[in-house]
Amino acid sequence: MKTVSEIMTKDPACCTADAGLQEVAKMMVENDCGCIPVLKDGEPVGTITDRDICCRTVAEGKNPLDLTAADVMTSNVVSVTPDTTIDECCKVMEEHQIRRVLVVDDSGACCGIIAQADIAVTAPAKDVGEVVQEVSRATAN
Amino acid sequence: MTIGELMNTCVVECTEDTSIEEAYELLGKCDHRVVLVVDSRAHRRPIGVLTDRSICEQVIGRGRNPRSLAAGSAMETRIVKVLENEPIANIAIANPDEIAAIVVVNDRRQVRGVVPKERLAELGPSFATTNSSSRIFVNTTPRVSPAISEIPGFGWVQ
Repeated sequence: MKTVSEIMTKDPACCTADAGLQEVAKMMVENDCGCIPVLKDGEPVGTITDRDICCRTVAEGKNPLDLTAADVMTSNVVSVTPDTTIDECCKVMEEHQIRRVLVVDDSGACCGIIAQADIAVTAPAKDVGEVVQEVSRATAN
Repeated sequence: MTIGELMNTCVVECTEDTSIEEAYELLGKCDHRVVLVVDSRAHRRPIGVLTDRSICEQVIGRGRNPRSLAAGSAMETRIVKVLENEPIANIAIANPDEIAAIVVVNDRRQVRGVVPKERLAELGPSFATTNSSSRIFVNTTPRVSPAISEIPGFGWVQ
């Protein structure tokens, strides 16, 4: 059975909590990703997505150039280990209604990130459809 | 399966001149969080899409404050238009990773729906076949956002 280590993005681009949002946005562009883990002492303390940046700046009329990752990140970190199976990872995504999950190693350091899209290109269509449906349903509600 | 069966039918539109703040309110009206940017209210020709990512990339990543800018400065112009009755297996796009969204149109080129970038992976490996029998209208020319000095009449807050 496939594990997340086989399809995850290894060593993803990460930032610190005091990184400015312009810097974080540039990282998203340079790495073509929509989620950046936020680290403290090498361990993930949150995640920041393009939606986090926009929701907490544009929607609230704030200037994103004045804020840091800590101001907009989501602090509730959901993670799996490299030997987690794809099926288990799908369940984690459905349970938490998220499209991306951090992968942490034994020392607690972030060693990868796995997204719904990663599963979509490798898993059977049935599994992909179920995850998309469950995550999207909660989003709609 | 046709692209019309996969598309999101909830389509919200704005023009290039719509403020980013106003356009961002529209973003929340659909689950897929894509706002279609059209050339005008009269013609409604799709010219790009506004997403969280495009705002980050085109505005924030370039050191601009979105408060003083319009949707035209924050949109992604690399969109692909496909006819709604086109079978997915027949759709061939050279570089799907570079596409921001698929805009689905009918025979009269009226917008019928949107397939956002996040859902392109669902189309599977067959999405990138070499079968070129489909009629596809492609606008893949990256639009360079105007320099601050080129934006008439806009001041921006630092």
